[in-house]
Amino acid sequence: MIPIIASAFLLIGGFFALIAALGVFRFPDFYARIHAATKASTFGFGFTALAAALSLGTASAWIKAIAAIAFLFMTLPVAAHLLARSVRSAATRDPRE
Amino acid sequence: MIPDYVVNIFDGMLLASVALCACRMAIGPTAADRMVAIDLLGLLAAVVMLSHAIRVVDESVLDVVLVFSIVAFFGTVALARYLQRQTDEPLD
Repeated sequence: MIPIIASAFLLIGGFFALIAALGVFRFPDFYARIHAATKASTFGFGFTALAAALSLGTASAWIKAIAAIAFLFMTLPVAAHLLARSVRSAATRDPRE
Repeated sequence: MIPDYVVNIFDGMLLASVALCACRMAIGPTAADRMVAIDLLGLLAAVVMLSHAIRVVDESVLDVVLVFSIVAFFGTVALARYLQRQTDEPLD
């Protein structure tokens, strides 16, 4: 049972990573791109780390995977906010835009 | 534990993702678009490391993933800082 769940999580993670990259490639605007890059990729990384922890199965693997997921869920929105704020302040100050 | 062909399919998906992201990094009209693509490339590198950890059944790779995500976060913060300073300078 566990290999099936881990395989499903792995494929869901790859699907979300592909969605994130497709959004970054196809969306027309910077803000739309940053939306795709930071939301979908968080889920892609989370599902892949859960699949790795399920596949390895040891307690230390679970702790490391959950620590990585928690850190990423905290820092990726902060990084996206910093990027968007720097671009936003530059766009509102620039008289040509 | 996970069958080998599932990991192969996953690696194919990741290869397509990295290719799309690298295309956006190459053609991105502004520096900010390139920065978003670089941010996503760093996260995809961490996902590639997870795929390697699953393939070789070695949990010490997860330490590398943890440290790499921390370094990628500080890299993104530094890039955002650099962009803000660069756009501030000619207007002051």
